[in-house]
Amino acid sequence: MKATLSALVLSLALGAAGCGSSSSKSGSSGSGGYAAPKQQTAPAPTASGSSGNTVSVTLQNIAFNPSTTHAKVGQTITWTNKDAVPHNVTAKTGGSFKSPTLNQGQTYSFKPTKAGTITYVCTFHQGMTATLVVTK
Amino acid sequence: MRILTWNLFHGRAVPPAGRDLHDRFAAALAGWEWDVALLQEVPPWWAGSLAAACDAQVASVLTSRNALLPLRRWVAERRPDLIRSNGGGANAILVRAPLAITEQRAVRLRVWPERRVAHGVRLADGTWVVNLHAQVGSERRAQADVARALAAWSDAPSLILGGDLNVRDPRADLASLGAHGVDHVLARGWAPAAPARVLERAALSDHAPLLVEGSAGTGRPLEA
Repeated sequence: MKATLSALVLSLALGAAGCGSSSSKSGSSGSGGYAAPKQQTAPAPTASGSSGNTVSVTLQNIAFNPSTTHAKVGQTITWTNKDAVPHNVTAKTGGSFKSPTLNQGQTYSFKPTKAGTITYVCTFHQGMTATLVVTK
Repeated sequence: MRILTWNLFHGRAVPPAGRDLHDRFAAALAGWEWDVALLQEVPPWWAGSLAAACDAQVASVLTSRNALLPLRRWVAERRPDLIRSNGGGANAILVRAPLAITEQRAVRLRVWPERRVAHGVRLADGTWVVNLHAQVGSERRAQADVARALAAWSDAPSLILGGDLNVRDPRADLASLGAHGVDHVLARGWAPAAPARVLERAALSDHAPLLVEGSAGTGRPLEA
């Protein structure tokens, strides 16, 4: 336990000292109560953006694109992994969804039921962060 | 010549294994047949032991996040999935006999957002083999890293440049010996001799190892 705590403290300190590209974005929280996420296997959308009731986000070049996504309550946000490396989509603040590991071509969808700002990350890749802004 | 390129993901697995995976990476590398291995995101303290496991020569360079390295190592060996890429990084080139390293050269490409280095070794036949991990998250920066690396070895008539280039279509006037995603092996004076293969690595790393085979084509390698 002591070793774990020491490792955690050192890890945080070294992370702060690192010269990497990570940049955590903080979002306002307090907008829980989201619908259960759903993994999909349908063909992936070909471009990022909003189309009807679906908002698309791609995971490419170890980044979410776009890094900030705007959606309305009830719309479906679909993430598509276009990288050859696996990713996931995991809410850090403002929400509680977590996708399974997404290999190339796989998608994950989530439909928010409340307005708010959610920051999310890929837990495999440091600095791979993005924000989802949900409005009514 | 068989060239392997593999980004080791700082010695981690997907999904996270929660423990040090040095021996598993070493066993995987030792079990594959290659002549030169281009490794990126290598825990810096692994380079020598991986080479020993593979009965190979090694040349390595530090890349980014290596300040206070002993502390980083201490954490990474205990909690690799906690410290992740902050455990420190290196690129390493392993060379198996009968090939041999006669010279090495490192060219710093950038320090921001992350320190990137093109690192090459010259083999006894005169061929330069360059290992590159280009900047992630920006195609413009990644292409610039590739261009700078090529410029640094523009005078090499026999050149193999491989690694995690972080672009799908690198702008380079070189032949492709093979690619998988953003992992490439490019060459001047060499041509593909066999189809590129993606090797099975279980859950090790987030990148798959890519094995290519090249034969001296137009512009033969210089004689030693």
